[in-house]
Amino acid sequence: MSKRIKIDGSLCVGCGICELACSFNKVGEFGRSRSAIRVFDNEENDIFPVIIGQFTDVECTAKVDVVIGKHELDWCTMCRESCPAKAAFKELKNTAGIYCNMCGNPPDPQCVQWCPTGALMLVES
Amino acid sequence: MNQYIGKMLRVDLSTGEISKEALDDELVQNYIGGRGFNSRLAYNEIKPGIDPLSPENVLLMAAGPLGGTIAPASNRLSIAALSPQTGILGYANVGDSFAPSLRWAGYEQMVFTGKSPEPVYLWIDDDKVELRTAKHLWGKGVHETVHQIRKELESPEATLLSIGPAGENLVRFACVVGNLHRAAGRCGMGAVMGSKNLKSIAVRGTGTVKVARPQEFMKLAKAAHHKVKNSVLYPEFSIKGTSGMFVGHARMGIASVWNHQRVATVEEISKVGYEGQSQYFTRSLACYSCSMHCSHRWAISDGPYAGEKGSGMEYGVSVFLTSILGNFYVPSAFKGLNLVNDYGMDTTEFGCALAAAFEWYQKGIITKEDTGGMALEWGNYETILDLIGKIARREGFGDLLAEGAIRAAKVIGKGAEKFVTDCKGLSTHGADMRSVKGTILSLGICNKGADVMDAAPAAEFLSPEERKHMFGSADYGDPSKYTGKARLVFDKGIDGMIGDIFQICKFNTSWAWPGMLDANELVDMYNAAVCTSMTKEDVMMVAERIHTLERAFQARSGITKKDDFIKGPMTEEPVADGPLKGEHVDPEKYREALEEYYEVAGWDKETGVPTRAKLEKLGLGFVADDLEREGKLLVFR
Ligand code: SF4
Ligand code: SF4
Ligand code: SF4
Ligand code: SF4
Repeated sequence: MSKRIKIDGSLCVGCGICELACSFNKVGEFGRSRSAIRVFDNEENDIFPVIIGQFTDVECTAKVDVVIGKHELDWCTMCRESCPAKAAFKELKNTAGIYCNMCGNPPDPQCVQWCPTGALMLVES
Repeated sequence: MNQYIGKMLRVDLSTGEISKEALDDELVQNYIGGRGFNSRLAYNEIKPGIDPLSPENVLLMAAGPLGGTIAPASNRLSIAALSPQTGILGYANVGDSFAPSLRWAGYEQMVFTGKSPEPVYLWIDDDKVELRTAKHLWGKGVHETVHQIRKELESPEATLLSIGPAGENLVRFACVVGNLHRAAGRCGMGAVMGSKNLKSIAVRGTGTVKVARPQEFMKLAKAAHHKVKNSVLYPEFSIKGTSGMFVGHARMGIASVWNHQRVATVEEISKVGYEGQSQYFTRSLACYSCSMHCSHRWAISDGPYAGEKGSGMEYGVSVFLTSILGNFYVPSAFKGLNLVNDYGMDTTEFGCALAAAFEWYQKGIITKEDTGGMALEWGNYETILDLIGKIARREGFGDLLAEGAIRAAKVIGKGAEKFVTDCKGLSTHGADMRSVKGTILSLGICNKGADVMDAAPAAEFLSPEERKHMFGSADYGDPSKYTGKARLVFDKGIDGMIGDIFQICKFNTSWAWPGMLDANELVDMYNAAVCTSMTKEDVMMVAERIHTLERAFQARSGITKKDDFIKGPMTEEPVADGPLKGEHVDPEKYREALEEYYEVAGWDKETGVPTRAKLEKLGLGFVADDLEREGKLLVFR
């Protein structure tokens, strides 16, 4: 059985700890731009971590339906690499090339380990 | 040069010149970061006695050495300058994500000098740093400013520090707003930005922060997060935030109403404290890298303010928009919060100025003629909200209140000053602290004026049973006693300073509560991060050095013992009602406690000025020389 990360945006507090845990895992340094997970916040009521890579259900429909709602458009500029239509988006400098590889073997994602709220969970897919 | 510490960015706003400098090793060793860097630079670069709103003032902003890392709540940014409100050194700090972004971009500190010929904002895009025109943003609220700047920079992830109209119009208590809802509130730092024609600072940091011993650092940081999450404070604080304290104050009998004329009941405070606010909270919210998440998103669903939404609503906001003004309608506080954030002003000072004005009106010291026809009636929230804009725009009566309570009182005369509770020109806490003797002392000795965030001892707010359980004796921290408080307040000030030099939010450290992160844990993370081998004792020495240096700065501006007494109703009259009826501040006992504090701190008992012996012990001999040259070491009053 393979595992995947389930994101519950309603539990996310926007602390960005997952970003730092991931960047440390990737490059041994801290910085949101080296992370395969990015927490987006439209400063209204949506805060949502997005994972860049093939191990989560990153298809646009899921994201739009679940979280982005009427703010779809604004958020599209930020989803970047996970997006099927990414050519249309602005890339954040330096993020290119960083993808989620479901770190740990067996999978033990750093982002899940560090998330203080349970917004990120490791589940069987 | 320590390679784990970022650069200093120096911006001469008069000429537009921008330079980058490495921070001096000596500064890093002796002052560590954040508030320490700012206060040390302020001592060198700000001449006491200058006009805080003149180009000569220097605006300092510094992150901490753990900023941008995964260390808990390492997100604070300290801001300092000569305060337009008090005329002495002022400082404040702000959370959210500015400091982490600044460090990812490679900078530790920013120094702004001079005055720009026209409105500008600073854009820090990693290595590329430029001043851009803000002419089109002048006059705009923080909300619009932030959105407009992000749009024109094509950078939705830029994080900002901005001022609103209050800062532009030099309202003496204008604040600096972090993104949309976080503020470096006290001491009028926003007015300093306004006086320099600096509308905003935007940063995008796409680099990283490296630490010296990564594996060790990660282990320590993880243990630190674990400690925060398993602390006694966490279950309460992560849900309620600071607003949770409100009803506790009512139970103690220290929740003030009508400018400290009476105390609120638990029922009243339940309407405006967490209990009343929570129905509007939509989610919990954290500053960057903080697992405590004490803040909230909210949306108002009913009444005249339905549709209003935003973030925040801390204790210090709610108290000044509600109970102290006799207002118990909580949606109006949420509306008010959005207004103060958008106009950019400190809620504490705003609330204190209004509380005084409403009492002047009540007592007939001012009338409708003075207020431009407004009836300043307790609890009238429409008037309260109306005054936010009037003050920010300096309209009519608002223009007078924009000077702050104590200055406005001096203009009015007729004994108006009697109704303002302040110390060194900075108004005080919203709760009635006259029954809480250590806290009163902490307000008196706080370097910036009557602020609680430096040294108020948390122990005083516990029940006797809790104190017994936690400290082994109910006498420890007994709020009614003066004895032992000098030491308690001094130690608390050092604890707070340690948070402020590492720029770790104090709600996560032992400053807030026993059992939170202590100096040992912080210094271990620091050592692993920047490759030093400091001890807890070293760090405590640094903290004391900065505390004393700040005091010396204030002494050079004329602050002495006489200025360590809190003036106004809170200390000059007894509590009128409630469980603590009759409690008051005994001037004689207060003086004794103050002198005891000086003794602990190594400050002169007669003048309150740091002694040469103490200064030298702290490596501040040059300060002693300055004070001596200026005759301050000899002043007796
Ligand atoms: S950016 Fe792409 S993946 Fe994200 S919501 Fe828009 S279309 Fe969907
Ligand atoms: S699973 Fe690992 S690689 Fe993927 S986002 Fe989480 S921390 Fe990053
Ligand atoms: S660590 Fe968890 S709560 Fe924090 S931003 Fe990431 S997903 Fe949200
Ligand atoms: S405890 Fe609250 S104020 Fe402090 S850093 Fe965390 S969320 Fe911000």
